Amino acid sequence: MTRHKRAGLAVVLIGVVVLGGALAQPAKAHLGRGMLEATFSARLAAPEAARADASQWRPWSWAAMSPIGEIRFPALGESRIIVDSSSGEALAWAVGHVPETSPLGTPGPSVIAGHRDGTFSLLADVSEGDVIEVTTLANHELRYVVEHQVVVDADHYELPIERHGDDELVLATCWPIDALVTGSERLLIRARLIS
Amino acid sequence: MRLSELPRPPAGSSSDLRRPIVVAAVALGLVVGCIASLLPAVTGFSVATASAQGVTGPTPDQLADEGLVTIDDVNTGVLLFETDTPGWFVTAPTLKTDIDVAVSGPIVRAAVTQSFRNPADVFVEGTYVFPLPEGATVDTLRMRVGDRWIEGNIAEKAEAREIFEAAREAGQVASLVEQLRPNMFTTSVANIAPGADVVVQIEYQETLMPRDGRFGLRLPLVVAPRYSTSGQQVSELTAAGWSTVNDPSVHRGAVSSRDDAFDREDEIRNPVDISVALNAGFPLGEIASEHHVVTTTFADDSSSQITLDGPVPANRDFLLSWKPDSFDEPYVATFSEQRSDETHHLAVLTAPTTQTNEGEGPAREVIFVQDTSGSMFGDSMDQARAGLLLALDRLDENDTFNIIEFNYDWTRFASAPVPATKRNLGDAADWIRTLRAEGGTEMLPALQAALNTDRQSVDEDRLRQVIFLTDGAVSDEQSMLRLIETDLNDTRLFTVGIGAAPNSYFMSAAARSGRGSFVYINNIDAVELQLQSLFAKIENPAIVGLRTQELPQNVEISPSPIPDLYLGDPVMVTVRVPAGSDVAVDELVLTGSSGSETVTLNVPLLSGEEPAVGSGPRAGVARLWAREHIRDLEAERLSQGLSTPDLETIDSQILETALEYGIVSRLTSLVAVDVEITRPSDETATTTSITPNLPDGWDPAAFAPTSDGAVDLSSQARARLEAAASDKQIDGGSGGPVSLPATATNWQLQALLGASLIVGGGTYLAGTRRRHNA
Repeated sequence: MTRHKRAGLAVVLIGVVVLGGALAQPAKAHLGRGMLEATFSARLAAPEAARADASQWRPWSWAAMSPIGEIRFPALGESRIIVDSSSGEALAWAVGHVPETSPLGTPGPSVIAGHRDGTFSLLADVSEGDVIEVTTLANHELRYVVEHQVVVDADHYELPIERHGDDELVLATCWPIDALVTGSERLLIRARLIS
Repeated sequence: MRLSELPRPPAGSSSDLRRPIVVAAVALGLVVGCIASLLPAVTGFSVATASAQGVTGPTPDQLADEGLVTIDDVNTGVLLFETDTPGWFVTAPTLKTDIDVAVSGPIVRAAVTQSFRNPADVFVEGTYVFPLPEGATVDTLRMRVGDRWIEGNIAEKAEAREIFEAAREAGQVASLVEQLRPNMFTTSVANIAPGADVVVQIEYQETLMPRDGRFGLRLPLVVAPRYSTSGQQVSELTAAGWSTVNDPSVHRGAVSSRDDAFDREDEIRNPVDISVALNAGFPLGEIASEHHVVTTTFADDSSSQITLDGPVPANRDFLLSWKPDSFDEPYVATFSEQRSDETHHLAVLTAPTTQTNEGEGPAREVIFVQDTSGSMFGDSMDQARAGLLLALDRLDENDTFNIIEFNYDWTRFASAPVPATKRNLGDAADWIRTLRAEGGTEMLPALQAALNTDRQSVDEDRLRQVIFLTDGAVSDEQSMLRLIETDLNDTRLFTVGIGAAPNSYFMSAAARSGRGSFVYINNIDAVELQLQSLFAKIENPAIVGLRTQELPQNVEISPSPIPDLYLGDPVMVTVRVPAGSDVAVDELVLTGSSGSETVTLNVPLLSGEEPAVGSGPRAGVARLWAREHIRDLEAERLSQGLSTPDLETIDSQILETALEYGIVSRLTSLVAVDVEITRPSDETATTTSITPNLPDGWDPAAFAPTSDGAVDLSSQARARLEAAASDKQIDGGSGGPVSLPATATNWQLQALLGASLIVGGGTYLAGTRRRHNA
């Protein structure tokens, strides 16, 4: 009899921990935001040379990322802090610039990735012609206009990276956005610099 | 959250206690699960900000003292060499700078030729950087690097990239001309030999806009202002700056050559030669050079040649301004340029500088549309409020007005435009003072109201002006532009952008279709001043509703419709006449109205050969036509939206025009590659050194070897430059393709799983208990 009870309790507890871990994801994105925002504005306020060293600008001491920009979607009234890493850990907190791609505000595509069921769920509401604004670490205000959206298969797709050509912003998240299980499809939103 | 972190299930609890324990455990698990992953963030935060102050490596001040600069310091054309400190560069010593400018009405074509030297003992890679005036684009690039010759060509973007890649593969020197940031022209130059000279020539074109009836030309010459920790003091000419030039004399104090801040430049200072062929397109009033002593030679009423009195050191920007003399009749000047088979004309129409029918301007109906969304909060709103009050003050009692404010919704001062009586103005002022900036930005309904529903009476013979003030993002560009096209009627739309990032692209397109003008005010302190000059200007339209009389086929006019003429404020109209037109077009007849009178303007279109006085064939007219044409096409594209099949047609028209006229556009770019230099055929002449024939279109004088100048670098700067050069061979530069990161946590799925486990386990427990109790 106690064996049954124990088994039942164990199942409940496993469930509890799994649920807790799951709920931590949206909570992280929510709570991390304030700290990342504070760190970013402190970083912008610092003299230019002091801004450069990423290790000085961790939102908390053992974070493996630092905020390098802010992306705003005026049409949606939303904004996100951009961090300098696209590792799983970093993306749990914010949207991340893929370090192998062009730095923000320089020629070539800059890729920003975020979770479809977290920081970048709003990409579902972005449409062609929307304006996206980005504040860079150098405190430049960049304005992009969404030119097209495309769904690609990440298993067979590699984004060609050139450090030349247009300053382009590519926002990436998993597709379909409201799916329960992640496949290999990714939504890419490409936006062209207008000013 | 890993399974190993599972709390142990409580062992051997009694059945009465079971339920509370389960509930407590569930709650605890949730809390632990959440908190555990958040804790690091919470506790770590204060530590991180505290440690953020220290900086390692040399400080900016040290680097600046060594003679290094950052890209932000660059204020004129320079050749930069990388150093071992990322983001900091050594400026190559400039041996000589020559600037040749031709001004045709509002068009400025400038050719800048600069010679630099590699002062290091190693091969280095350089980047030529040239800050361009707002709206200017480079269309010609020529370089001599040691004995290599490089020329830029306009190509379709994809093709330009291919050329670049192919040239790089082949080990050739190539550079895709990049836009580092808007209005910063850059091109990289690889493999500059020790001691070698680099000569760069670029040509750019810009279109000047008069401010307060005065044209201003600015040539940046200051090599690199010293780094200043107190912030930017780079832009010494503010938007309102031209109006402060009051000195009527051509001469201003000679440049003092010893300036403490430029001591270092003393040794490497380059001599600058400037000549400006000014053809204003209207009778010239005063010409003023702000910082340099110049000689002005008048060719006739409207043109003159301006040269420096000998080479000057590059320590002051060259600022030249001019304005029309006062005249009573509309003045028309045309400039023409033949290109391939077509003739291009630029007509500059200038209204009289003085009102002919003394006194009253026409009665107006003025609708102010004020953005009061949240982003306007603070200074912007205060300034806008002050601007509006100012505008009310200027209204005449015959005028009618209304004010519409919008954020997520819109409201207006009065349900219909009201006469500008003292009482109404007072009420309006009170109303303006209550405006608060908050909420979102829904522009379309407000604009609709301004153009349509707020129209008092259609039959009234009033001048309708809508003044649209906003700081912000315009999200629904195409609906707005369509609305303007369909509902403008006799209204004139003036757009005013305030603050750091208004959508200038849209706002100028809107003003263009709205037959008004766009004013961009980025300096918040200047809002009041600049609004004042806008209001003053639009009170006195000299000639409105200009139209061409039946135009022969194929003759294209841009902008269309033609903007109104305001006092002393020139308007330019470009015309293209294709070859083989059946009808020879030698005159364009424009009719418009001035008050109650009908005015006819005859615009002579010269065939291009015979330059009349004050007019004539001028380089840049064809490109200006093409640029205007592309702007029209881009505006059309914008109003079409991004999903119509017409897009491709428009894009191909843009591409065709850009390639034909050699213009850098959204679809084309400038790519620079080595050109083959032919040796002269009489190579047998062994005793004399062989001079290669220059590529077509190159000016031998510009690329002749430069005589030696004083060349020196600080020893630290040299060390940093050479250190960087030795590191160079390992660095890869451009990366390969990247794969996309995982971008989902699947937390919903995980939550679902957790919840089912709880429900399943719970049901099971409940079941066992029921069975037990039974």
